[in-house]
Amino acid sequence: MNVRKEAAMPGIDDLELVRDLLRVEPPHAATTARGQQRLAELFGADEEQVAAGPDRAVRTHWLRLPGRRWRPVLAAGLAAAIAAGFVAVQAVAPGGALPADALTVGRLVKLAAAEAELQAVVRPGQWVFWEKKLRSPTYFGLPNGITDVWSTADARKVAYRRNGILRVVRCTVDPCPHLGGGDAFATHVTIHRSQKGTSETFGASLGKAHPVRYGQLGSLPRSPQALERYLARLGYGPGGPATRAFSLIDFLLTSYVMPPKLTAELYRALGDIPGVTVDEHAVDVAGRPGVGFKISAGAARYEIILARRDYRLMGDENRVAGYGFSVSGEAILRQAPVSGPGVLP
Amino acid sequence: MTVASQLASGGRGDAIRPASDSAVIVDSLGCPEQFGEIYRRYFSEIYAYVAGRLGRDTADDLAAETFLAAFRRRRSFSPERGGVRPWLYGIATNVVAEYRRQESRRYRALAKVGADPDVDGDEDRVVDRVSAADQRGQLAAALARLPARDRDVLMLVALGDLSYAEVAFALSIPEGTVGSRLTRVRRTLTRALGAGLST
Repeated sequence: MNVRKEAAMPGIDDLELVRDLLRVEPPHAATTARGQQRLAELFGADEEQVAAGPDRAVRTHWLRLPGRRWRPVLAAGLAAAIAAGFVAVQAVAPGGALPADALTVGRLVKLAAAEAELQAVVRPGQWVFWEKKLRSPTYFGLPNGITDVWSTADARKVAYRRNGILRVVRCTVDPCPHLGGGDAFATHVTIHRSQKGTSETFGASLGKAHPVRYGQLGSLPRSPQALERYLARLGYGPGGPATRAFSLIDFLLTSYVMPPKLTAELYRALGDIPGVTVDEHAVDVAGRPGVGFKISAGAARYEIILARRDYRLMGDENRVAGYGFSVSGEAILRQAPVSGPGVLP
Repeated sequence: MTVASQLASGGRGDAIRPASDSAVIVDSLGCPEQFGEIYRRYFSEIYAYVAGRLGRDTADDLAAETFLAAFRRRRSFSPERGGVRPWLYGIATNVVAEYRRQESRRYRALAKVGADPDVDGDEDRVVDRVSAADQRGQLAAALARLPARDRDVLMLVALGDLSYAEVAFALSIPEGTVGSRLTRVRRTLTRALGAGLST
């Protein structure tokens, strides 16, 4: 509720009179500087206290799993790879009390949700340019390195350059994956020729679409608990209900530009998933430090990484315990609305 | 940077949005120097709030005290309850509360000064200035008589430009209480001003 600005008595603006009566000149520069100095002295004392605190949890090393958006393409290969010899050795984080300033799941959820809700609404058909650093096993034929992709906010269309030619693809799966011009993507592109010309579609060979389409986002349960239960029941992703819900939320966050309120609800739902913890020292596949929500499923660990600066999505990363190297993940280096496919921001 | 913030910043791909206040507070838990950003953002307006109530000499020290107290309490700050700005105003209000008598003395002094203007000039302007000075004097005298809790609400709205919800957060009172106190205090002020104008 906003404060009523009108005067309580016609002709007299009492609040403005109070402001006028008590208005003062800005502080002298010396006053501001003196306050800064006093604060700086306090910083030093606080740093000593932090330094004397308990050790932070040591980050575990994992072998990473492929990205969940690519799982329709990769599921069989991944299962075979794990069965072929990836050993599930989940490192155990050292015990002990959390540091006094530890970032809890609840706190991270609130920060991420609060930031998400500040964002403006983007219409579903708006073209968006994505610059992503992708990391994946080479034997899956997926692109590694930095790729430029254009996608509509609802991810119904995607565009990329292949051999220097811009190709706009309409997807039969929803959403289109952001795989750029990778061979794995191209494998599933079908070229249609008719009297009207040539068009391309993606995903006809993949069959079933993802369980939550953009058009269904508005009908998702509103409460975080109900949303988490609903997502867990959809059967998307690996492991039990908790990791399935986590995977689906990651998939939605990294695939679409969603309404701000829904994005916030998804972060809140993350906080309700059993087993989700915080990685205060997360690093994305581009090497950028951040903070992460993480969850484990047997040998695998999944992580959604947010920027330390403003708690916005930086990307995701997926690992399998035992060998300590990344299997897959993506880092969103740049994301900007553009006027159309092929247009750079 | 998200698409939405890109749109908000005019669609420039390289625009950088400043970190939110809450994010700065959280960052300052591990890196205390980050709190300096909160000081840079809000010192001037907290100073204006404290100086408005207690005078500039006192505010020179107490405005900084507000930030020292905020820094010590930053671990207890909960962004889900309210913003950093009203949180700082709440702390400043607690700091001011230690100087209630001085605040009342300031208003009484303003009442005296306000009612005793310089009367040089032509007749119309003198009448206007005397009238305005009378009004200021009546207002200051009314402020001096206000109960402390009502005055806190008034000052947070008038000087801090806080909403009902923000005042409620700053003072840890229900939003409805903010509304009732503000209604009461504004009625008191307009009655005092009306009486001054009618004499």
